[in-house]
Amino acid sequence: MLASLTVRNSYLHSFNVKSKMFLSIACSITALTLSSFYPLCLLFVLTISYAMLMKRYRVLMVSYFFMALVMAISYMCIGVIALYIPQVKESAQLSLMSVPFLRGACVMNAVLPLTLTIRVQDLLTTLSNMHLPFIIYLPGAVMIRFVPAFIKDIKQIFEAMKIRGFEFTLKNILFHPVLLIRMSFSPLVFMSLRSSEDLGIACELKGIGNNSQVNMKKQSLHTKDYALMSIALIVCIVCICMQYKLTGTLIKMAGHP
Amino acid sequence: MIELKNVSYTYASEKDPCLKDISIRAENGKITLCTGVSGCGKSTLIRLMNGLAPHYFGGKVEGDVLIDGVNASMMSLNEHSTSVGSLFQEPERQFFALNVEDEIAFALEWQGIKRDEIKKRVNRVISLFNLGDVRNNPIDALSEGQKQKVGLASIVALGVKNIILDEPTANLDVESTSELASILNDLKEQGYCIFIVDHRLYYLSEYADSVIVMSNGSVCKEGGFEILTDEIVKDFGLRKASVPDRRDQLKRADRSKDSVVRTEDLTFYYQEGKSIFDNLNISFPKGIHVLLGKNGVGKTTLCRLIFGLEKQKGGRVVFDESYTGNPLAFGSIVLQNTDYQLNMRTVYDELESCFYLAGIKDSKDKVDNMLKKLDLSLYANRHPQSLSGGQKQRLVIGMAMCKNPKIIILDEPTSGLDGRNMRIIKDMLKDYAQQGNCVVIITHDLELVDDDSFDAIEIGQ
Repeated sequence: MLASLTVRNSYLHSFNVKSKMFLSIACSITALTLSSFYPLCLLFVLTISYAMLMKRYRVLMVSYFFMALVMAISYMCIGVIALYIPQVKESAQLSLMSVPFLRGACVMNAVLPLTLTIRVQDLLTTLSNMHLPFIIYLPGAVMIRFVPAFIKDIKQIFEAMKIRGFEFTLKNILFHPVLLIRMSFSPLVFMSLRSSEDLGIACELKGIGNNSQVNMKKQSLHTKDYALMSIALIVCIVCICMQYKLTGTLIKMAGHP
Repeated sequence: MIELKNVSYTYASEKDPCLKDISIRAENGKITLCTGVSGCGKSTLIRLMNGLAPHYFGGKVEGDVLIDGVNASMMSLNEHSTSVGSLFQEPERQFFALNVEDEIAFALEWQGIKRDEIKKRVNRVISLFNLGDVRNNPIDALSEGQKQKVGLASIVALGVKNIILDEPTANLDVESTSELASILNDLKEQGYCIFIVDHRLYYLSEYADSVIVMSNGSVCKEGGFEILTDEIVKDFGLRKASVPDRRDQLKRADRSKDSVVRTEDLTFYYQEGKSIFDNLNISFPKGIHVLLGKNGVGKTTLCRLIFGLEKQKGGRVVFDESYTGNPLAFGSIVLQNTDYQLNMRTVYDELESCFYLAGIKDSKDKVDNMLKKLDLSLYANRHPQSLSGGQKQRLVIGMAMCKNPKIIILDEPTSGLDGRNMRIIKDMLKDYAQQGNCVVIITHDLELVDDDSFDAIEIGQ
């Protein structure tokens, strides 16, 4: 049932970690730079197509469910505030409010495949070759390794809630929000702390950072890796150009035409 | 060799020492077994041996910890990790890589060893531990026994001669436990120093060279395996030293009796195509039953299907009195890993919320009675996550009982528990069955099923 939660063979598994990392960084920087709705929509469509290649549809659905939930709550809050402070009304437009969420979604689409389709050792070697200090790249690698454990934790917590007779439903979101938050987030916090401590201990006991690092499997970039990086670069340039065309500037603050 | 000389240890956040004046010696070519009730200091002892205390957990150490004759206070944690290998109860939580081969190679890749040598060592241990078939499999698709083997293989590949195991059999079935014991004996004969902390004792009766019994942070008894007499077991709340395998002798459940729940032509298979049940017909009458079946036969899957946690591909599950509502309102299931099931601020709130969700609004008396029954009245205001393993397990069983289920299914309810807690839970379940309910236990715990009032239901015959 829980089999293959973390490793599956999808087309994305065959790409080198460097190309996926390049794509993640390029798309993340572009997403943060963009603030116009349409270029972000384009970037979103392309990055979600990329994320779907890893064939982890449920993981994507759960991630988007949470993102949509947060967006709905913030939209409601802004709506309430706008009732009392009319000046806020202008920034309460859906297209403006969706900008930060689209940015987050683009980053998520680019990073999730990186975390779920790589060898941890490949990532560590790549980060190490970039001559990043140990104190930066090790926590980064632990965070990426933490994602599969986190997904598993969420699944088990939802199941435990269901057994108890309290499900994650719209009715409970509306009528028992406090109990819902308590029952879902409290064990998640404890399990996340435990997972991160376990992984920290694992790093220490495995002697990470002990010596120079050798990768058992040779890493090299292939034609398809160069193709992936080129496509990522072209997409980012197109999105930025689109924003320039629409707004006349490369960087535009949200809410300021 | 690992030696402790008059060692006391105090955690940074505590005033009183957790370990007091410990002097023990685990020698090369020997298996040393350490046992004691939960909270007696066994895990802290392991942390001192593998260097996590004080390097990771801080605190103050008095006395000397010697690893192969070298004082541990002179070693960094990295140096420590090249002399002592640790295998934990849930090795999966310590795995850094995501598949078997990568995990075994992972620590080696950080030792500055050449690529060819890494490959050679990985191939050697994969062959030694018979992991060839699962070499490229994801870690989370392995059985618990295979995970333990991967953990041990990665330690042996490092060339570490001192191996510490923390409750290695807690999640293992009987067959995997025997296999692990045999592997440990092989390593012992190759000169490894093996130090095992465990509640289960019987599987080491032929292999353990010395036994240490701890209580309240001190060593109380030390000697050969024969020191584990019935009297010691009782006095120190331990598991039995000798446990018969009575699974085949358990009387079979009388399925002609009215069933509380039954399956009709139940069919289930995973997406990958592996068939688990094909037209399974099985019934669960009132009483206390142990669900038997070989590993992978689908015991846990069956229980999940009964309660709708998995969706059947064919057939149906029929409850007593033609009940057609939510299965989880009629019965309850207690899964492993209690930490996922504890959400509230206090033990009292935890039980109260379960009564509330069962439709009982004014439950003060009921909560008090349940606390009493669970022997947790003293802990009513404690945070549930701060309880010991045995207390947490009792609490989640109590939580499942709040809705007064006609059937309660428990998956490994006594794994990782000491003898005292195991016996308390056994009595609780027997009482519940005697009230006219159906209790089904999935367990590998031979000591739990060593009881005449249990009967067996077998699947996959």
